[in-house]
Amino acid sequence: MTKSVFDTRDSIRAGELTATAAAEDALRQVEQVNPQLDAATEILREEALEQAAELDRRLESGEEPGPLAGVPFTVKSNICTLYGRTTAASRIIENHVSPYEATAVRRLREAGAVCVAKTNLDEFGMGSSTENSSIKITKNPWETNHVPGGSSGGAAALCSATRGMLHLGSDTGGSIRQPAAYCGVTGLKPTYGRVSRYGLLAFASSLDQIGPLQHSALECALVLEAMAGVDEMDCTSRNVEVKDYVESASRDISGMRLGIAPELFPEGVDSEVRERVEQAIEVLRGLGAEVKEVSLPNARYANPAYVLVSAAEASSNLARYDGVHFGHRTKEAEDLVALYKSSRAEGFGPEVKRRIMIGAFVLSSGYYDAFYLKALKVRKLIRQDFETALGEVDAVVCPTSPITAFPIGERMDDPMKLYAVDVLTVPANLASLPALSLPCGLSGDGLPIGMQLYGRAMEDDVVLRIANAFQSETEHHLQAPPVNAWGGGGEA
Amino acid sequence: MSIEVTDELVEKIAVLSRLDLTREELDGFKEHFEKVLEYVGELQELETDGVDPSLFTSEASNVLRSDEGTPSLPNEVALRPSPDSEPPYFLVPRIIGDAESSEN
Repeated sequence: MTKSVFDTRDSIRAGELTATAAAEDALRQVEQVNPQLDAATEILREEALEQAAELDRRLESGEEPGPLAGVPFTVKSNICTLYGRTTAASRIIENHVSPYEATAVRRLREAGAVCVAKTNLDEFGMGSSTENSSIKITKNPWETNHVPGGSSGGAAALCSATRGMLHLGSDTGGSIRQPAAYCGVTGLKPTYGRVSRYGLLAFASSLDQIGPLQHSALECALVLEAMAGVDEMDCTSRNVEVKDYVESASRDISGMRLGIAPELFPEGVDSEVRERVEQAIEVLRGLGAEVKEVSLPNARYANPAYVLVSAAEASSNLARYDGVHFGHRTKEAEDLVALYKSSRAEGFGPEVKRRIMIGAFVLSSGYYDAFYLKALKVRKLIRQDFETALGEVDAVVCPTSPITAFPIGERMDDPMKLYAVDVLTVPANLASLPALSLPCGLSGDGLPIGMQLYGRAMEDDVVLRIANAFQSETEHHLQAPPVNAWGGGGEA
Repeated sequence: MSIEVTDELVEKIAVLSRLDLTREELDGFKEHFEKVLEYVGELQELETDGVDPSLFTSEASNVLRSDEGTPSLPNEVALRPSPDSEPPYFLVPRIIGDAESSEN
């Protein structure tokens, strides 16, 4: 069954498909690919079917069941759901069941969507390969010896290998866009404040944002429309009109101005990646877009600034995992401080410990000005660079990642090698801008390549529109990976 | 600013981080820390005098709401994820009354 989320939604509304049948199909797909991919950390068969049956009762009795009635969805395991565990793929909260629900999840559920699975990630979102999960390593459906990217690697792999579902991820420095690029799907990091962060386990509060990973920009628009909007539980959510994103993404792009910044095509970008992105830009030009060069002189400082800012916020946010309020507590501790230290040392994985330590250092007395304050100032300069560039163009185009998906284990020996992969995605988080990754072809080895679009703050519709125009003209987003649940392309 | 990464500094950071790390973990971190300091060192090249170091780069400003109480999670529900509790309290080891209890 090859179909989009719109097909699932429309069939249910037309009475041709029950919510139960849609949930059954989604569960079958996840269950079929998960043994090969390890993308879902939990498949919520019983709970999903219960929800679906309830929706079918409401549909039968003629009630208005919501705009996404019966559409199945998955949730990254660092986002709180009322059923299924919210573990952040960390041992420190490996059995955590949240007593409350994330606003983004609640809005999808109230629109009638049904949660069928929780998905894998790098512990607390810290990583770019999903190898830092304490649960298992997710595999790339295009080549199962390769990583799916991260940290939303479970969502990206599952999206790539299945059809007709919604997938929620989170993005602090590229965690939606980079795995979307590696798995050949479309991923949107909305403008900071577009979607409530309430119920997203905080990694770096000034950078984190929840967003969709889907097959197409139009599907992303549908999810964004359902989730976006101000929320009194998150005072950084913005009270700005929620557009009809599906409608606005459907418009053409003739006369739109696209910027190319040499700083976002640095030397380290693989030649095949560069080539595919340049070809994609030609397609956009053919659709009526004007292309011009812009300058982002401080973009090269984004990654070091990100390393410091994100670590500082993480060290503060992760102080709450103390062996008292949540999850793991050490067996023997003679006093409270020893209880904190041992519980945390036993519960956190190596990368999380490294980031907490870096963060504690940059916030500590004597080093704060030289490191943390400096990074905040650089952040401001990067935001100003984008404001200037996006004053001249409607969006900036660049690769999502300098490379394609790499073999599992290749970069685990040196965390710095993993950090380098984020260099083209972190500027969007530092500058609070919307950014989207979409597939634009395959490498010679058959691995997906992603193109990225940066837009102005609160103009998420513009990047969706450019991506949709590209996808209306091309078929890169419809290609099936070798591991898939619907029998498309290679082996099913 | 040049920083000498000593065992003492790394141990101090572990205390601030509330992490009881093994010698091996501390040595591993020391090596990583040196690389991170080298990597972020290039920020020092940038002239940033007079730049506003704001925490957020989003346009949001202060958000106020009316000063009225609203319902929150019931106590027993909020305590559910805790490893040890006795409503309405979280339970922790004894922390008062023992002089040698903690240096921190």
